[in-house]
Amino acid sequence: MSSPLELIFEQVPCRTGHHVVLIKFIGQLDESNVDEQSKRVYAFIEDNPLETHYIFELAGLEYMNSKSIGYLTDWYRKIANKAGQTKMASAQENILDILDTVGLTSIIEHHPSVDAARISIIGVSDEQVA
Amino acid sequence: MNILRRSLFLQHLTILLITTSVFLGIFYQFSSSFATKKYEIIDKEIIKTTSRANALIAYNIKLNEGKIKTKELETYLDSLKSLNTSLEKIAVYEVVNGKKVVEVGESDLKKAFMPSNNEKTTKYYVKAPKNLSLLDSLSYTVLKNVYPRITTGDIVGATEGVQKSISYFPLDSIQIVITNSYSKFEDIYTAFLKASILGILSFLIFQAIFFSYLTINVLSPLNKLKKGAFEIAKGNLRAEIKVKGYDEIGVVGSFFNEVARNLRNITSELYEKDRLVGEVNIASRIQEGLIPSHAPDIPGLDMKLGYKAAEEVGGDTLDFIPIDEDNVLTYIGDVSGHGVPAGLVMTMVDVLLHGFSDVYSDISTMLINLNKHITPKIDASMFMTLLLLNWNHPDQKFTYVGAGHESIIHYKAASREIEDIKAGGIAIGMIEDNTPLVQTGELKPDINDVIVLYTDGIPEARGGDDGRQFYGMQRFKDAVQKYAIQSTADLIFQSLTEDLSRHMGKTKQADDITLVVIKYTGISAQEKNVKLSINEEAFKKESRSGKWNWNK
Repeated sequence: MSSPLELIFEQVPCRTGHHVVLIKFIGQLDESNVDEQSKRVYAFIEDNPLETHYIFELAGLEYMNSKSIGYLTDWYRKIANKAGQTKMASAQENILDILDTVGLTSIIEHHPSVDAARISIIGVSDEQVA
Repeated sequence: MNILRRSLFLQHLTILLITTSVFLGIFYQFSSSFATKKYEIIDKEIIKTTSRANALIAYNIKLNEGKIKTKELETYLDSLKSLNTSLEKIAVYEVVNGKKVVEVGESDLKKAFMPSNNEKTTKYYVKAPKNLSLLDSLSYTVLKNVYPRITTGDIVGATEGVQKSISYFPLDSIQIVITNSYSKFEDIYTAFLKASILGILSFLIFQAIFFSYLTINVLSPLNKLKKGAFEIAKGNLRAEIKVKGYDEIGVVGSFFNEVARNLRNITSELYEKDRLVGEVNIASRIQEGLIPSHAPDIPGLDMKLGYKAAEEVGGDTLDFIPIDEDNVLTYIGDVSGHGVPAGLVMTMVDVLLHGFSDVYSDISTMLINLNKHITPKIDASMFMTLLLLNWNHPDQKFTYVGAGHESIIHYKAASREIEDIKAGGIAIGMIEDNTPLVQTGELKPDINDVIVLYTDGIPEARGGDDGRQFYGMQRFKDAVQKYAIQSTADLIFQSLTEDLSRHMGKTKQADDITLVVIKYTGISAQEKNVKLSINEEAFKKESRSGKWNWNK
């Protein structure tokens, strides 16, 4: 039986014209589902145009195993190859601890909120643009 | 039409034909009895019953032609006899103008029963009424010539005016008394007997046809199936049978061939699987040879270690490498995922580290070069966390460098507190050059301090009531704090693994687990000057004695 995991793909509106997308992870990423779920993320990255920026929202993620961290690293590389940026946001403490331990936060920035991650991508807030 | 339907059809046809034959036989018997309408049986009456099986039966018969020649009478009587072939004798008698004149007595019957002159043919004795005056002497004489045993009063009649023959009997009915050997229903019985014989013959003929059909269409193919099954039982999986048609036998034959083909495929897969299992077992044994089952003897360090893979081949690694007389390198690592892919990466790392230990004395340099060589070689989604610790004997301290590995748990005996030391760095394989992220640290233990190294298989071990609860870092650290006061590394190790086993219960181990417990015992002044002289070959031979098992 695979663990429950919900993946939500959303567009993040940006007045600057940047193409930013949000991927929400809700549930657990473990041996039972990580290979299957990762295919959806790979397909999503593949379908998006160049210079698409990604925010992985991890607020709802309760657990991730080492293999899922490996996939996260690979997604980061593929996004970078398409001239995009990758940010992580809102990870729970235990998840952030794992990401810190393996050193992933040293190559993919983590932000306390999705909005903070979005601002780090586009450089300014929507209010400043207005 | 399939075999079953054809068989049923044949059976039904046979039964129908038998039944028809029986009815036709019966009909024939009765219809033949009445084929000539020259007489009719008016009624039957049992005159005398001599035994249960024999009876004297009088058949009252009406002669339709009103008068009858003597020869014709015999013929008629013969015909009447054919009513029942079992009639033994026939005695006759009767009358004139519908009136029974002469009683049939026992003496008459006797005559009837007694063949005359030993002739086999039955004689018919006919009595005329005593007042019959038609018979003249000439006629009597003639009659006597014809029927020598006829006596006066026995003649029934002759046509008036006819002198040389007694051509006619003015009879309109006669009574025939017969002995029935069986019963009054004998005629019906005989009819049934004939019909039954006919039915049995029909049955035998159609059964012969039916069994010929069965032999050709059922038994022969079944025999082929049997032979095919024996061939397969003997191991000849190439055995197949020729299939004709789409009836039950054809379907079974096709099914048999399909089963044979599937058996061939399954057997082939089993051979392949056996081969793969054999190779995995070889890989497992190779890996067992790479991971020591116990630590080398190093003054001041009481060490106990253990490793348990989730599958035949694991992705955790652990080893001790003597660097020089003063330094021993130990490392613990964990490849993402587990199984054969992780095992292959682990093996590459193990080999490289042993090679680098001959070239580099600095563990940071080792780690940087390891990442440089491993990253291009492994799948983009794989990585390996690693912790390198160098034990310097003269200084009695560890120098460590991390590559995204789990923290070092340091139990301080003096304060009974736990320190969680993060070695930092980034996992091997994540970036091409990890130089900027490599940091070294030092750990100098006090006497009775305990240092615990582990892989994430321990905090992430699932268990609890529902098998879904993590063991967790907090429980692990609490356990270290609780059991670290024990006197030896072996006891501490045992307590920690028992606590983990209690949590896991019967939950399947999902990830590889490696645990190292180091209790610092301190050294004497003499021991401080001892030079580490670990014979690597001897250590390898001694320490690699197989997989660790939690329960042993």
